[in-house]
Amino acid sequence: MRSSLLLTVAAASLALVAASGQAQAQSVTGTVQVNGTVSNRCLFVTDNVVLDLGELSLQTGDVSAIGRLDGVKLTSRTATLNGWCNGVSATMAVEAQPIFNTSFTSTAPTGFERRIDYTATATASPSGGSVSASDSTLASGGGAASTTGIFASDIVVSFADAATPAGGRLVSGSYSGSVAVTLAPAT
Amino acid sequence: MILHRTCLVGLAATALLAPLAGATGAWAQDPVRGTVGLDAQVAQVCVLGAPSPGALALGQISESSGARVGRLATIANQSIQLPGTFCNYAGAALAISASPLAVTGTTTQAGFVGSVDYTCTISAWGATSATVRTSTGSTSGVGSPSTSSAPKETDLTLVVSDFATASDSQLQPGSYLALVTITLGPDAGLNASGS
Repeated sequence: MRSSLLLTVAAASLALVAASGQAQAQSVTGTVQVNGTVSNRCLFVTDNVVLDLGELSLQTGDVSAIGRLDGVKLTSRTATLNGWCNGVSATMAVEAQPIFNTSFTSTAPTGFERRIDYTATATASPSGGSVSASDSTLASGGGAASTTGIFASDIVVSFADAATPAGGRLVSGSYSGSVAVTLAPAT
Repeated sequence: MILHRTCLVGLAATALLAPLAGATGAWAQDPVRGTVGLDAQVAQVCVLGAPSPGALALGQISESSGARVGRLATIANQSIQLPGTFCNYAGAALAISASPLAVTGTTTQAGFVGSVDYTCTISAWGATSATVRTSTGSTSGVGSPSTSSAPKETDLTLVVSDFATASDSQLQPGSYLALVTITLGPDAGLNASGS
């Protein structure tokens, strides 16, 4: 009996060892979270274009028209910027500055002009269809912004409504103006 | 313990990424601007209005009766309009050249006179009038030009006056012709400018 009891105890000890071995084999899962962000962003790839419009006044034709603005010299031209925005709320706005005579800065004499007004329109091409924003130099400040959303395309700037304030003749000299196109990632 | 470690790793990732993302976002969210520059020029140009009338027909210029028969009659001042004349720059000069009113197609006989002098004046261009007085023997007298200090657009009037002969002799019979040339252009280069 004593011997049997001892064996039994020994057997029980083995069982405990076996139970301990089962607990160490269970699988567990650890998790590593990887977080990041992409901010709303706009960028110009081509951010500066200069148009040389050449001679702005009519040089031939009816005598009464010679020396006055040849508007086609502006309205027939376009300038192509290139850019992109990566957010659905991105907007585009235009602010146009009049074309002024930079050589003759005094008040133009009666019958003459040194300022040319116009409307500039910038057109981007998101996949959903083109989006345009405009500004007239007749109104102070920039034009209303248009929502482009996500896009990466050329931004074509075109011109219309070229005119001098009173239709007079242009004072000779060098003329300069500019159009600013602003891409804003979010409002 | 294992879960606790996982939580610690997650916090560490957030702590590292958040400042980076925030810094990038602040830079990227500024609007960007593209510019289209417009350069152009307007050349210097002058236009002289078309003369109206284009010619002066003085008719009979000698007295047809009386004590001065055959001699130069009194000729009233004549005017020619040049409407819409302009130069689009400062410093443009107006000058007049004129030839005497001379008999054509024949030789002036002794005791007769075949040339009538006169004065041309245009007063509305510069501060002073442009003027010229013809001179017998000079086919194209050039007088004093007039320069405008600013771009100018105006209707010009050419006045032809003070007809006189060098001597109060009888006029050679025949047709008489004179030419007046008005030139508007750069002060230093009137001969090269349009007229």
